[in-house]
Amino acid sequence: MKVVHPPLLRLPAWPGPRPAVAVRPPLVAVLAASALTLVLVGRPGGLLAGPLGTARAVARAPFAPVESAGAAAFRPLEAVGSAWSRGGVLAEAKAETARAQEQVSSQAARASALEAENARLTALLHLDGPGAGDGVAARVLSVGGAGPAATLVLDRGSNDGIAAGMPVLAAGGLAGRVVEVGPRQSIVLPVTAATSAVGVRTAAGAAGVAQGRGGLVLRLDLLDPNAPVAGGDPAVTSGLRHSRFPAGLPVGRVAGARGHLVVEPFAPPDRLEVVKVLRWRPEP
Amino acid sequence: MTVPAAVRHWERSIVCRAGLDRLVRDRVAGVRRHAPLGAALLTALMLHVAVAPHLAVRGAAPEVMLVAVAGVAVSRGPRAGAAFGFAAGFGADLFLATPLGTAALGYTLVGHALGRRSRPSAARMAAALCRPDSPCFACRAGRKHAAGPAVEPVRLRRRAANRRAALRQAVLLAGVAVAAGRIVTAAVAMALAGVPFPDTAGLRRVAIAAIVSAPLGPPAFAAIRRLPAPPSGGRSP
Repeated sequence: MKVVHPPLLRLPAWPGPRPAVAVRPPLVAVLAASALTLVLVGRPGGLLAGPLGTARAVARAPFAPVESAGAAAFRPLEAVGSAWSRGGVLAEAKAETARAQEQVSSQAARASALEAENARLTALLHLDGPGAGDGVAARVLSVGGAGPAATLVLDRGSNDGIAAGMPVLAAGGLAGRVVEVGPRQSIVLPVTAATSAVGVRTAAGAAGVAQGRGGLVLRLDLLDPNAPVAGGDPAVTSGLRHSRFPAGLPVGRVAGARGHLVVEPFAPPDRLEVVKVLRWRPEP
Repeated sequence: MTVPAAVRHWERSIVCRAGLDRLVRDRVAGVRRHAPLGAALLTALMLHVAVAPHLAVRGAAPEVMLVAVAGVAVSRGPRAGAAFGFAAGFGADLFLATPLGTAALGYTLVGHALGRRSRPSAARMAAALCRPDSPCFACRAGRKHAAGPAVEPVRLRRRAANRRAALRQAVLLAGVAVAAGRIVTAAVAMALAGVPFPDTAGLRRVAIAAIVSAPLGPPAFAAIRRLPAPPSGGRSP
């Protein structure tokens, strides 16, 4: 006779595979991760720094007309504002001018003598001014707001022979360097941007680094803290080996007290219209 | 080719068979759903480019993009806030020297955080819905709640008070959004690209930018709240 044992443990029937539920990560995580990836591949020296820079230059170009329209609309207002602030000091300035005029006329005579001497010496040494090299004239399309990391857009690009790394000069002096190039536009990092640093030398021979802070002036860090430096000294690019700029380009005027030295640039980026891009490439 | 023939031809085509047409239709529907916010984004970007730099006070311009992000986050919640923050940050990135995506990351986080922060709490919701004829749990238990039951005589007075409170909140949120967005973006730039963090002068400029941008809050928030809402049925952002 066959004995049938009852099962020791009665298991419930297996309900079958669990129904698939789509697990979606939260949107903010997806977006943050893609932005992070973008930053990492697009930062200077990243995998896609070049193509992303070109894309930015091209995507920014359509906004140039909007920006110039805004500038045109606000020009009368700004003129009124500046006239208002200037009216009070007008009388003071008049007296100042009269005094200055006498000084100027005496100095002009001296300057013309010095200029003639300088021209003779330059010809003698076969030297050219550092900004006299081969260059491309370009118009500034956009000054990109007043933020600490604002950039300029020029209306010339790689089709005109501009390449990343070329220095940009304005009438007064060094304005910045080209960082990204599109076929017909290029983006310039101004010397005042927080990511910009320029090696400079003052007239008295003090060497240092002028670091942009996103404001209107650059902070000057001297290599030798005891080097002689005076307010009002002009600062020019030092152009050491592997420098990003050729030597001798005027940058600005030293101001401030020791410990808080700043360089006031000759070419503030917020009022540039026409610039010259030097066809000069830094040593690799 | 006649119209039915064209339809037959289309139905036999590989695009239709693979279900790509449905994909395209879904995309178009998605685009239409998000069109109002896209228009808001474009408007904000134009203001950011054309107007904001001319209203700068001591080198600090109002941050239109961040105010818009705050407005979307407040009126549509963290999901929409993060998505709009990403797009707005990307737009702002076009005009910055930091690597592409820095502001996008910062603005995404700010939009998400503000959207979460300003989601109405359960207690406030209950207080707002509390009526003498159907009191909320707090009233039933004999406790008082912050808003108090809205009975007829005080409602008019309350409406003016509410408007003032909303105005105050919009100003505050716009300022907070600008300050937080600038600082988070600067922190991202410092961590990922080695850009120096703003010094005291930079932080002062951030504070000025927040103060200058705060008055933009009420009009921007009101405009964004009046945008047509996405039709119900789809995944609302």
